[in-house]
Amino acid sequence: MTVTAQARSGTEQQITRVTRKTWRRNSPATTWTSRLVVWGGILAAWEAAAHLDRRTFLPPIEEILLTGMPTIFKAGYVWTLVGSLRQLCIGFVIACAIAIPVGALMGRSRVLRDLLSPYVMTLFFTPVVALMPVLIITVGTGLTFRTTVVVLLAYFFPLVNTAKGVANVPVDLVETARAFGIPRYRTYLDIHIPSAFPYVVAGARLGLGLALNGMIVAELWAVHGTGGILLSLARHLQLAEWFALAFLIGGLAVVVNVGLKAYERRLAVKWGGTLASVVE
Amino acid sequence: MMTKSGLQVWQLARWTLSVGTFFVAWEVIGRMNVLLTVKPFNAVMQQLWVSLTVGDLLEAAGGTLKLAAVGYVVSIAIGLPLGIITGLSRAVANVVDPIIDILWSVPMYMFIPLLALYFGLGFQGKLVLVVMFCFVLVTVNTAAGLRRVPKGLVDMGVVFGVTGIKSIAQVMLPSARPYIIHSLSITLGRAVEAAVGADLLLGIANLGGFLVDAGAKFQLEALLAGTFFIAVLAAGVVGLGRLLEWRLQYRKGFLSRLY
Repeated sequence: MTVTAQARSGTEQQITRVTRKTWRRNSPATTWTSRLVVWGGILAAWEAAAHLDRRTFLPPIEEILLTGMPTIFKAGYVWTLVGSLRQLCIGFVIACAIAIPVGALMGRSRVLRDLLSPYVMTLFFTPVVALMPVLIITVGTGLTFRTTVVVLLAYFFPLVNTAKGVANVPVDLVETARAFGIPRYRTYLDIHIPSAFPYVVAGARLGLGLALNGMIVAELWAVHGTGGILLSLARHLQLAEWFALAFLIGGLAVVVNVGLKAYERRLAVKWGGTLASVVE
Repeated sequence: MMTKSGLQVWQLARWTLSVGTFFVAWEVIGRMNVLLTVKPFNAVMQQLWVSLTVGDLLEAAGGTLKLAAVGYVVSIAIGLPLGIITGLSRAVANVVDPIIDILWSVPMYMFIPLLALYFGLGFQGKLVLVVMFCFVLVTVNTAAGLRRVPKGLVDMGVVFGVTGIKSIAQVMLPSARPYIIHSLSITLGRAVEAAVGADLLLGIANLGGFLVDAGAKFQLEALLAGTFFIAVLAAGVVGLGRLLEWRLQYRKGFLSRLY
């Protein structure tokens, strides 16, 4: 068995070397040289456009870093951002607290899945922005409104992914455990939760991205917090500050996304399975 | 075969029960008058009929859908070639993938104030927003599909003398087809969502204008009717996309694949 498998993979590698030249791993030096050239070119084009023609409204990069960044710290915009992120966390925790248990139940029970999936799906397909005018008349522009928007956007992926993870629990392991008379709570702790966990993490990552979108869109609509600042900075043409703030928000989003993705990959390696994240 | 169709009947019954409960609850809560904004379903539907026939809801929907459609086409025109190139060439992927990752993570709604400044509140700015929302989805899925082409398939092509550009056209792209079709289907819903968002937040017009107008005049029935209409419209577009996808991809058992 092993011998044939090895032999087969050996030939495969040989043929692969002939066919997919394009997908061969480049050396780090080549990779970083090409990155440096292209990314540097983009930044240089930005810089040139900013300096050559002020009507492009593009602030030069050094202005963003040297004037914009200190200003958003001095003016306290960073603390507004922290406040917004705290609200985002509240919304996200509520979303997960609802989505993960409901998702687990939907993964276990077919009846429940059929009963709830129309709501889950319709709410996901409905543009949440379209619900904002009704929401704002119902609950006002306060914390409730912004949290609700975050919850409405963030619940979907944790829920669906948890359901998928629970539905994909290895049946043979559960049956083996049952055959050996392992108590049910132990199978939940040692089989169900570990095998569903990578899916939950993947869902949470996608949900977190949407939660950030929800925070921004709710604050833009209510002209409040970070969204309000982004609006007023753009309106007063303080673009160096605008880009500095956007850079902070975007940087945070990227760091969280990439970090959670790396964690998912580690989980996948640990459990010896494939990457649980769905391609949306 | 029997059990499968039996299951689907049960599934349909449960869906009907679930959706029916929603509308009955809406009507009852509306009649009880406990929540200011929840008007009875019946009254909302009457208003919806009036808005559709006498009012300008259909025209508004046409405007938003046109924006979504143009944005969808432009997104594919940008996203598909980019996805094919990054999916085929490691060298390009090395450079482009981190940028795609950034575009994927950053909340796109953030750029609304900036787009208003650069492109104005009209069609152009909205189109840019819709494209920013959509093209990454196409790119990521297309590239993922091409990267997951089984090596054995390409190798077999080589054995039969299919190499180079012919291998891309006859082996790799057909093998990545499910991913590409899936991305085209899900981007449809995303385009409608982005178009509604643009019509609400960038320049108030079309369906966004209908909602804002109804809200400002405190016509709650009209506001609910508009929101309900948008939900149905979006679900309809997504459903149509999925249906086309199933037709293209699986050809059978579409009810069992909804989830």
